[in-house]
Amino acid sequence: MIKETDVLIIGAGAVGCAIARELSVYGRRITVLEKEADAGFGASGRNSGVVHAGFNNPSGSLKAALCREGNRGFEKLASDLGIGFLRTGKLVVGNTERDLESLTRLKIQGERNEIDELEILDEEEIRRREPALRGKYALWSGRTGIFDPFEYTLALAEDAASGGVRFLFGHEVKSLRREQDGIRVLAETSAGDPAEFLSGIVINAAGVGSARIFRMTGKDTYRVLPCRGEYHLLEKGSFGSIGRPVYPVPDPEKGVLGIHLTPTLHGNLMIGPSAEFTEDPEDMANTAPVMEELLAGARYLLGEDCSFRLIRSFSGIRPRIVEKDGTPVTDFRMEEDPDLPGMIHLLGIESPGITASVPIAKRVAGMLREDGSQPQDRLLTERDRSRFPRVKEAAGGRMICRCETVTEGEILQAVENARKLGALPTMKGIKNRCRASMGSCQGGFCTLDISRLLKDKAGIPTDRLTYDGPGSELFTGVLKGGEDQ
Amino acid sequence: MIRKEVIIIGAGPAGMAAAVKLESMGFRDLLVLEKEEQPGGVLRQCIHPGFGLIRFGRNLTGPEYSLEYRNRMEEAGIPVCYDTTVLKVRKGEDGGIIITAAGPDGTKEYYCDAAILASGCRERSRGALMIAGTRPAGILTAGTAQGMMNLLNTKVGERIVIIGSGDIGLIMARRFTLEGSRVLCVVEKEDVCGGLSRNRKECLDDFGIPLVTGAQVVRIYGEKRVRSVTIREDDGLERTVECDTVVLSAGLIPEDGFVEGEVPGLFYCGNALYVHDLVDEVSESGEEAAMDAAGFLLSRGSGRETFSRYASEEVPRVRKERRAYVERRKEEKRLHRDDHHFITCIICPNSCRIDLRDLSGGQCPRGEVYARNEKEHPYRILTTTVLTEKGEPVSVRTDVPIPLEELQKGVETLQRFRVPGPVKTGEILLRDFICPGTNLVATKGSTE
Ligand SMILES: Cc1cc2nc3c(=O)[nH]c(=O)nc-3n(C[C@H](O)[C@H](O)[C@H](O)COP(=O)(O)OP(=O)(O)OC[C@H]3O[C@@H](n4cnc5c(N)ncnc54)[C@H](O)[C@@H]3O)c2cc1C
Ligand SMILES: Cc1cc2nc3c(=O)[nH]c(=O)nc-3n(C[C@H](O)[C@H](O)[C@H](O)COP(=O)(O)OP(=O)(O)OC[C@H]3O[C@@H](n4cnc5c(N)ncnc54)[C@H](O)[C@@H]3O)c2cc1C
Repeated sequence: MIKETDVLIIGAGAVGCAIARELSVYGRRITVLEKEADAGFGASGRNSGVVHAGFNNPSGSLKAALCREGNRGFEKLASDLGIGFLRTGKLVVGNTERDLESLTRLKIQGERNEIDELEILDEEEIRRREPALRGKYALWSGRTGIFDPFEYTLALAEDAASGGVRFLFGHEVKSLRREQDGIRVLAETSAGDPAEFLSGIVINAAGVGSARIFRMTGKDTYRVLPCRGEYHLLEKGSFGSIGRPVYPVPDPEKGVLGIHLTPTLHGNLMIGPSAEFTEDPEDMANTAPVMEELLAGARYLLGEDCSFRLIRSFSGIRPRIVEKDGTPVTDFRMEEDPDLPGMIHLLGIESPGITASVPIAKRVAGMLREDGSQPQDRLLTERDRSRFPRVKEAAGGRMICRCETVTEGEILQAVENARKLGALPTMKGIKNRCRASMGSCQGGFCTLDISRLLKDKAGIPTDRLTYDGPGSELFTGVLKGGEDQ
Repeated sequence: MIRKEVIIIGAGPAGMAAAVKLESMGFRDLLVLEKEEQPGGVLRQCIHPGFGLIRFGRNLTGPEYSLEYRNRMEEAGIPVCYDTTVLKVRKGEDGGIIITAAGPDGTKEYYCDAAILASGCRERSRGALMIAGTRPAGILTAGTAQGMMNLLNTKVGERIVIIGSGDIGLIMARRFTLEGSRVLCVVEKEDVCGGLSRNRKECLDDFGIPLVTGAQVVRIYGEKRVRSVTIREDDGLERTVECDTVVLSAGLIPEDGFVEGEVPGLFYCGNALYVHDLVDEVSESGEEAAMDAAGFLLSRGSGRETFSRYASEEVPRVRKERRAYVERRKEEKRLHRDDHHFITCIICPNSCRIDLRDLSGGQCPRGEVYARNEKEHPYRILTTTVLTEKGEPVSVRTDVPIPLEELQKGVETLQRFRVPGPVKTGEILLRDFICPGTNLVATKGSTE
C-alpha cells in the first residue's frame, strides 16, 4: 500500500525536524522518514553544541548569513521550545604574532558579517575571564553560546509532532522515482519490510546520507567525504572554572575549527573534535592516536601538566561534500532538482548547521511558499505542547541515576515522550531525554534500576531492551526459565 | 529540617556495622539513609560464597552475611529511611552537618552532629580506560552484569571477554561459565592477577579460563552489538577475538562525589573510604568509624583534639597510604606469582603449603593425600539462582561442597526448576540435590 503525503522529509536530525516544525503551520500532511529509532541519532547528537556567532564563515556565504540569523534568534527560539541556552561568549586563543594576525583577520571577517561583540584580548584579560587558560592573544566573541543538542533536536521534533507532523522511525529511504502525481519514495523498515510513499514534495535532509539520496535521483554530481570528529567528555567540575567555549586559532588548511574545549549546559567539559577523513560515513569509532591527539590539543590550551578525568569518548561525522571533479563544496547547498520538481536537496550542512537549522528551515519554507500556500497558524508557541511534558516536570518517585539525579518519573516520561513521537524507546533515547546514565558512572549503577523500571512500569521486557534500536539488544536473553516465559 | 545526633549514609555492610556499633555504645538518636529499598548494599547481588570467614568463621554468601547485620540492626530498632538518596553533604554554619537527600516524598534536609559515610564504591567505566573503537551494546561492568543476572534474571552475553582481573571479574567469569556463556579470556594489563589467589584458582583455573597478563584490550569493534576486540600483548603482537560482550572489571572508585569539601564530624568507612578486599574488613572499618564518631561527639567542647583516621580531613592521606599498600602487595604477588598452584592443608594445625602440581610441600603424608584429593576430586559449594513460581529470582547454595565436575550439571538441573510458593531465607528447597545428603538452600527469601 502506498501512503500519500504532501511533504516528505528524509532525516530526523536538527535540520529535518526544524523543517518539519516550520512547515507544520501550513496545514499540510507532513511525514518524516528516519532510518534510526529516534530523532537526533545522527550528527545532531554528535557535535560541540555551540551556537556559533558566524565570524568563521566567509563573508557573503549562506553559512555566514544563516548562522548570524540563527544566533540572533536563539534566545527566542530556546524560550519557545522551552530548552536551555546560555550566551556564554567564546575565546579563540593564540600564542604567536602570526596567531594575532589570524585573529585580527577573523575579527575583520566577523565585522564584515555584521557580527557584533568581537574584541581582541591580551593575556591579562584572557586570564581574568578564564584563569585556567594559557594564551597570549584571544579573539572574544560575546554572541557565542552553548545549548544541549539532544534537547534541542527533540524539542523541534516534539513541536512538529504537536503540529500534526507524522514521524516514522526505523524507515530507511532506499530509492526515489518520479511519478505523474509526485515523487515515489521507497523505504525499508528496520524489520526488513518495504514501505512506499507518494509525495508532491520531498526534502532531503539526510545529513551525511544526503549525497546518497541525491544519487538516488540518477545523478552523480556530488560525493560525500565523511570527516570524522572525535571527542572526549570529561567529568563535571573539570578545570573548575571554564565557563565558555575555548578554541585555538583555526588552521585554514583543514577547514575546521580545531580541537577546542566546550563546557556543556550540565557542567561537563568536552575536548574535540578532531578532523579525519574516513571511508565509511557510519564509522563512528574512536581511534587510539586521535584519542591522544585530543588530550594534546587540550594541553595546548590548558598547559602541559594537566590531567583529565574522562567519562566517555565519542565521535560524529561531518557531511563534507565534493563535486564530481573533487572540488570541495564549502557552503550549504539548498536546491530544487530542476528535473524532479518538488525534490529539494540540502547538502553539505556542516557546522554551523545546527545553529542555522531554523533559518535553513525558513529558507526551505520560502522555497515552497512560492506555490501560494499560506500558514494557517503562526502561533507555534500556542500549540498543544502538553502532549510532550518536559521530563523535568515529571520528577518524582525513586532516584534512579545518582550521578545526574534522575528520578523514576523523569525516565517514565522520557519513554512516554519517545512513544508519542513514534520513536522506539531505547536506552540512548532515554539518556538523551533525561540524562539517566550520562554521568560519571556511565550506567554502572543505574542500568539495573532502569531495566527493572522499564520492565515493571513501561512494559519493556529486559531481553528486548536496546541501546539504540534493533540489533543493539543490551542483553542476550533470560537467564532461568527462558523457554517457558 | 530533620534533626538527629548521628546519620549514617548507606546501609551496606559498612553502614550497618557502624549503626549497630553506635547503638550498642548508647547512641539512640540515629538514622540510616539508604538509596535502595533494602539494606545490604552490594552484598545483595553477591550470591557467591567467600564472605564472613574472618568475622563468623563460616563460609557465607553475600545475602547471608548481610542478613546477620540486618537482623542486628532490626533488633536494635535502628530506623532506616529506604529509597532515600543523599545528594549533598556539607558543613553547617554552627559546626553541625547538613545532609540533603531525595526520598519518596521529595527532597529534605537533615541536620546532625556527626555522620558516617558508608556509600560504597562504583566501578570504573569504559570511558576512563581510553579504549578505542565503537560504542555498541554489550559493554558493561562486572557489577552491572552481576546485578542483571542475580537480581533481574537476565543473561548478559554469550561469548565474553573480561577486561581486568579484579575479584568481581573473576567471580563473574565462573558465574557466566556455569550459566552457559563462554568466557574466552580475562585480559589483565598488569603482570599479575588483580584478584585474590583463591578466586583465581576457583573461578578461572577450575574452568580452564585463560588469564592473559601483561595485555590490553586496545579496541572494541561492532556497530550495534560488540563483534570483537583486539588484544595487544606484552610483545606488541595484536590479535582479534570474536565476542559479543565485553565485561569490565578494571577498578573501583569510592563513591563520595556528593560530599562538599572537608566536613568536620563526618567519618568515612567501608568502600567509600577506600576499596577493601573482604567484607569482613569492611564491617570492621564501619565499627571503627562508629567509635571515632562517638569519640568525636563525647569530646566535643572539651577542647581535646580527637584524632581519627576515618575523619573527613584525613581521607586523602588514608587513601594515599592505601595506594602504597596496594602497590606493595602487588610486589608481593609478583614474588608469589604461582600462588594459585598452592593450597593450604587443613588436616592439622601445621597448615602446610602444598604444591598442587607435584603434591610436594607437606610435612606428613596426610598433606599429600589432602592435596591429591583437592587436585583430582575438588569439591566446591554451588551458588546460583532459581525462579519462584511468580518468576522472581532467589539465590541458592548447596549446604556442603559438591564435586567440581557436578557444578555445571547442578546449574542445568535448576534451569527449569520453579520453587512453589514464597521462599524463606535458609529454607531447604531440594534434598539430595546432585549428591545424596546435599541440600539446596535458599540464601535469600522471596519478597512475596
Ligand atoms: C564533530 C562535529 C561538530 C559540530 N559542531 C557544531 C557546533 O558546535 N555548532 C553547530 O552549529 N554545528 C555543529 N556541527 C554541525 C551540526 O552538527 C550539523 O550541521 C547538523 O547537526 C546537521 O543536522 P542534519 O539534520 O542535517 O543532520 P543529521 O543530524 O545527521 O540528521 C540526518 C538524519 O538523516 C538520517 N538519514 C540518513 N540517511 C537516511 C536515509 N537513507 N533514510 C532515512 N533517514 C536517513 C540519519 O539517520 C540522521 O538522523 C558539528 C558537526 C560535527 C560532525
Ligand atoms: C561485585 C563485588 C563482589 C565482591 N565479592 C566479595 C567476596 O567474594 N568476598 C568478600 O569478602 N568481599 C567481596 N566484595 C567486597 C564487599 O562486598 C564490599 O567490599 C562491601 O560490600 C562494601 O561495603 P560497603 O558498605 O562499603 O559498600 P556497599 O555494599 O556498596 O554499600 C553502600 C550502600 O550505600 C548506599 N548508597 C550509596 N550512595 C548513596 C547515597 N548517595 N545515598 C544513600 N545511600 C547510598 C548503597 O545503595 C549501598 O546500599 C565484593 C564487592 C563487590 C562490589
